[in-house]
Amino acid sequence: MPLGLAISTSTYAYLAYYLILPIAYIALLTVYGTKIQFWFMMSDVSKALLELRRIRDKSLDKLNHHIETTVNDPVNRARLLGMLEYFAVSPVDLDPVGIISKLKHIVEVHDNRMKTEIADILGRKDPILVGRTLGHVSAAAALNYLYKLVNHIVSLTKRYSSLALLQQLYAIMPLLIKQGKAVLEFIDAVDKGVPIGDGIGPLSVGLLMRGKPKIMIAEDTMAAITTIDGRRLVLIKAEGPASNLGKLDDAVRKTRLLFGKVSAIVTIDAMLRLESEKSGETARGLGVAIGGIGVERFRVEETATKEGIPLYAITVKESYMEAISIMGRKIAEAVVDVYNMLHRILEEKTEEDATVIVVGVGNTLGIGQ
Amino acid sequence: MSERKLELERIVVVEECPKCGVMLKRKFSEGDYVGMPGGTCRFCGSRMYVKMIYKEHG
Repeated sequence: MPLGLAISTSTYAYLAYYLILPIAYIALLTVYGTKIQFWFMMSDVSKALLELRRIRDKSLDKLNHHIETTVNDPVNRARLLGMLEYFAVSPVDLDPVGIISKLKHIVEVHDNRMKTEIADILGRKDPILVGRTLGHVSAAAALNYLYKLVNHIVSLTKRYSSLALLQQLYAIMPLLIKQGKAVLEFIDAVDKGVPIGDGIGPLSVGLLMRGKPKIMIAEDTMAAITTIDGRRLVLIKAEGPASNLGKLDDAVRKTRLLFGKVSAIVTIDAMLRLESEKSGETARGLGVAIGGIGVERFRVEETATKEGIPLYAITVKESYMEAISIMGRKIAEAVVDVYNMLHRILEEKTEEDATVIVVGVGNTLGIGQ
Repeated sequence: MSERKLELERIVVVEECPKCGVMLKRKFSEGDYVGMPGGTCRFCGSRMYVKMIYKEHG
């Protein structure tokens, strides 16, 4: 029965190819599908974790190199490395009344403690060197914490074989790597003392301050007066060229007390752009353009609301990466558009002889006044 | 920042003459900052100042 045998073999082959194998395949994927997905995702996340560790180690190498060139005493070197674990506990917010003043107090104590500790370790109060060291320590501490946090989640994921946890980490891992690389670039900028993208506000105001008499209106914050389009402008920015953010809220309050009636407050700051937007584009709006935890914004808003002062904002769009790395050409050249917008606000929204406060918001690294 | 990227990017300083508005681009050197006095203007002899510092490609 050779013919019968041939038919029977092809029937089995047909069954194997089109029925049994797919059923086995589906059964395998049903039982082991999530396991296979877990292995593939874990492999990618583990590679990304290694990359994050490499970034963290690079920042620590740079910090160690900076310490070797600036601090001689081994005890002080250890003290500086110990600052990587320095932390601040946020105040209790169960009763939110008065939370802003408590937050401001904690932030100020934290900043002052970091600066005085670093100045003590360095044995010098040179603001540029202190700012550079603080930049190194802050960046290394941020990357160290980021690595430890991701490593913690990866360990938990492995221990409990949690696909749900892994999927969340898998989704944000490329963004975390990108942020880590941006912080590394920030260290480069701090080392060289070059302006970063976030400095577009201080750059715009600092150029207007050039050649004008200046006063220190608040801690680490400078003010100058100029006249544009017949309006008296009180210009405020953090004191540069060291890495500084200043106390802009205190400066605005003091300016209000010193100059009496204020017709408008204009804040100039960098703004995180959406993927469809171009870097260096400028936008005009209302409100206070100050980032961070919101303490300074709250206090400026409070002053403005009490006095009925209109608030205007000019922003320059850029990515997170651009904001903390060396300033790019498009962002630097946006200063021209910022000035055009400022002229338009002055002409359209204020009378001649009015007093207007203009605040340059951001890190003033590499930008004098 | 990778070594390759560093090679492709360079930091430049733009100096401007406050009198005649002439701008001069030069390589960044340590200690430069925006607002600091720069060189002498070739056209009017005034003291220039650093207007911008940024990175550019190529």
